[in-house]
Amino acid sequence: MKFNFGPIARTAASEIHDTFNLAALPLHETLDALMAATSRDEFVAWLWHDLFKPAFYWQRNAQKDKFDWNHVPGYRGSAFESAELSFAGSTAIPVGLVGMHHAPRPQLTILERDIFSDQVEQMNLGAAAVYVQLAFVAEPALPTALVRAVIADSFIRAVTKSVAQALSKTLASKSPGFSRVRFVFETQEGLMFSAPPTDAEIWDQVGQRYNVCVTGDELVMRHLTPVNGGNAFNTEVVIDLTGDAPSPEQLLQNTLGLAELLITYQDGRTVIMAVPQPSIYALDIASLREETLRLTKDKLNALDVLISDAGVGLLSAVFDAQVCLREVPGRISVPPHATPSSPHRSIDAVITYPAIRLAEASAQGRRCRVCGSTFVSDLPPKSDWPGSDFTDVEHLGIQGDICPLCRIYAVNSHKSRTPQEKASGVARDRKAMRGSFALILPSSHFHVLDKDCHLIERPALDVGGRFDLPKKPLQRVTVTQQECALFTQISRRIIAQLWRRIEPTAPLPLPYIGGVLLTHREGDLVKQVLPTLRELFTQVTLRAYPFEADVIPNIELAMEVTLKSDKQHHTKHTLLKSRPLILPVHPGSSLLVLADNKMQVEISYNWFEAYDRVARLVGQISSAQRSEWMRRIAEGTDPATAFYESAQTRLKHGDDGRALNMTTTFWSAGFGADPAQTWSAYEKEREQMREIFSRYPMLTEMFQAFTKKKEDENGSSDTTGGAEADEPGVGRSAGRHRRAGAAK
Amino acid sequence: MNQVLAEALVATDALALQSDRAPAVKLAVKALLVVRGALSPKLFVKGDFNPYPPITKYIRASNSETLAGLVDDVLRNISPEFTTLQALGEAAAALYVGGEVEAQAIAILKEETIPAVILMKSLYQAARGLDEADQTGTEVKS
Repeated sequence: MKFNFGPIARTAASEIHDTFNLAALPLHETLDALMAATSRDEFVAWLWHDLFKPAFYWQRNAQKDKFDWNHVPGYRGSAFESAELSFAGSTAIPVGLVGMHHAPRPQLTILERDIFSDQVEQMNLGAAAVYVQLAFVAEPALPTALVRAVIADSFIRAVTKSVAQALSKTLASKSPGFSRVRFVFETQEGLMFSAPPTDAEIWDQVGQRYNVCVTGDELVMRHLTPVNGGNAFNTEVVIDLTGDAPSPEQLLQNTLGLAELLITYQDGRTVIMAVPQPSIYALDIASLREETLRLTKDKLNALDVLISDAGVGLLSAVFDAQVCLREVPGRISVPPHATPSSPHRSIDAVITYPAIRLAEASAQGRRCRVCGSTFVSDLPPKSDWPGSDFTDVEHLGIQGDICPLCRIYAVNSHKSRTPQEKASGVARDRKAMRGSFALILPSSHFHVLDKDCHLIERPALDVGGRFDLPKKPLQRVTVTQQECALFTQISRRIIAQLWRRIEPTAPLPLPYIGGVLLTHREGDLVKQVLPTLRELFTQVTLRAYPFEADVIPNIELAMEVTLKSDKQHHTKHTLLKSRPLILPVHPGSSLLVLADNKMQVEISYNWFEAYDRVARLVGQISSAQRSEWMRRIAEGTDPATAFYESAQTRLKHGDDGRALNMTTTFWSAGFGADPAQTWSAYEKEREQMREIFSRYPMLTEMFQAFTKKKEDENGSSDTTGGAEADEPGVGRSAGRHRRAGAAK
Repeated sequence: MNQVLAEALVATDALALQSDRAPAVKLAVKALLVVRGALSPKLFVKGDFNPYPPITKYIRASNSETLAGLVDDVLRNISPEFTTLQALGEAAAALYVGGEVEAQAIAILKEETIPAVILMKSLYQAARGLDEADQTGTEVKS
């Protein structure tokens, strides 16, 4: 998978000027606008304040013994001095906001150093930036993963929508207005410059081809980078400020939604989001909490999750005891501007806030026997056995309390229909929190090594030698919060791509957090997740001109799928037997999938290689024979004999001559025509099949799951015996057509 | 018939097999060629006799622990009245090689009957010049 969000935006970290990071210019400029602007004009100014960075015009400043990046429109003495006047006019902002953003007396209210200590390092949040945090005061156990993911998605949606509304109001205060921002990056080969180039040359060939204008509902910025042959990196990035969740197609075409731009960090226990300054966005925690609760309730109802226990509302109890929304404390007021000696806002302390709250709760003495969390709640203790269908004594012990989040898990038995539901005709088994399950979420975690970052070329206007790496090496020494945002974006797009392979038209099930959530009701889709996991064992490449880097983004994944026919699967407590995994997207990764109630299967790149080898042979076998052929191969029979015997079965042992002829055809197609070569090919294949099936004994079941579009017991197999007509798969007969080669 | 069998046997000896089991594979194929070559021509008179399925069937059914015994079992079941050809001489004698190679050849014939029969069939039919596209698998009378 390859990504390209435009060229890099920085080569310095604090006072260290020999570094680079991979965050792209659109990301940097948009985050500046969202976090630092205090008015419409400042917001617009921040969006194009670094306009000419993609020219990569670097000069050596001998006086200060450093390199200067000439990139600011309107900056005196720059090749781009004349640009600000024109673009300030077309965007209706005062002259000086952009041109003076690095000047000793900048006209912007809040500066980059106030909101981005993260341009410096990964340790601290921006001193004057506003952050809102969602924290789960609970251990991140799988039985609560569904509810936590829905709450997180609802929280992100609530914040995003309210920020979008505030931005819309701000941007509408002056004409021209817009709700989308388009960054266009073009490249040009063959430009010739003097040595050193003159300002007139740079302006004529490069600078004047830049543009900032509002077209329709879009603010469009055009950039041009002079490159050598073969190093073009043309791309466009669209920022959608409407607060809508982009579709997977939009995500894959470099549209960045507001939600993903606002998220600073996310994991299973917390989400930290940056929001605009108070003069644009009035952060109202109580209102956000109320909206998050409302959205969560709607979504859980839609998922058929029971959120009450004997008439007591569990979701309110969850929000009271285990969900915390707060503004991240420690923000400084500007002026004065932040300095290196300003109080630090350690991001570690914010990320570990849920753990701190858990530790505080331990003093109260209530502990959940399902997830192990300590908790403080008004909910009456529930030490009795959660129900006759709750049989996993080895995971729970026989006494103790259950926290509100796990109470939702415990009450969602397949036999948990309430009298009201039954009275309204809903009698089918409940399947939201038992049986098959898939949860795939973006992760802020990532991994990049310096050695995997390659300089594509020294840019044409790097006359000072900033990228003359043999003389002056650059190190990717920092992990910045902008990079965290970048890699979460990549993670989101990997998931969007997976989802499109699973479901060709529907939006992501959790569109704001950018995740996939499937329950046993969508058992057929859960099975279709399996073949798409192949996408996770590939190399991810990020082009961030002038660098290209092999990077390792991560995703969070929890999955359980039944491979064997098990009509009682939705009655099983499989969520107790697995845990979410932070998976590096890389060929060397592997993951364990709970394949039924008892067994886990390791899936990796090698597994898919083995699958492909089997698929090549299986492709020559009719669907009526495949299953038996694989069963015989798994028992140690050679491929030709397995074919002959499965053909005999298919022909009901009535025509051995025909079975042998079919086998001869299979032999020729698979191993060739020359007798010596066919035998060698046959022996090689036999050994490989033997090795594959001994290493992956569940391959037969996995193969069937991969190639069968729908399973007989899919989402159905109701133990009530009265399944409703709208349930997929109910009443279908066996022997339907399989979808051949679905996983290739 | 004699010429066909002789050519098939020579082709078997000449097989450049990239296999640790090459001697045993060749011996197994020769055993099958002995069976194929000794089948009575009367079986083919009607024109619809396909010899390979019964060869497969009786090899798998035999309990013989020697190669010669195996060949004998199959021939007694398919063609008790077998023909004698000059080319069968050395090939039949080779079945008494004994030792590891014979044991391995028996194992191949018992456990990988289908691959061995297909290999033998291709060698025999190549010597005979049969149209490989023949869908019935029944050999035409020569």
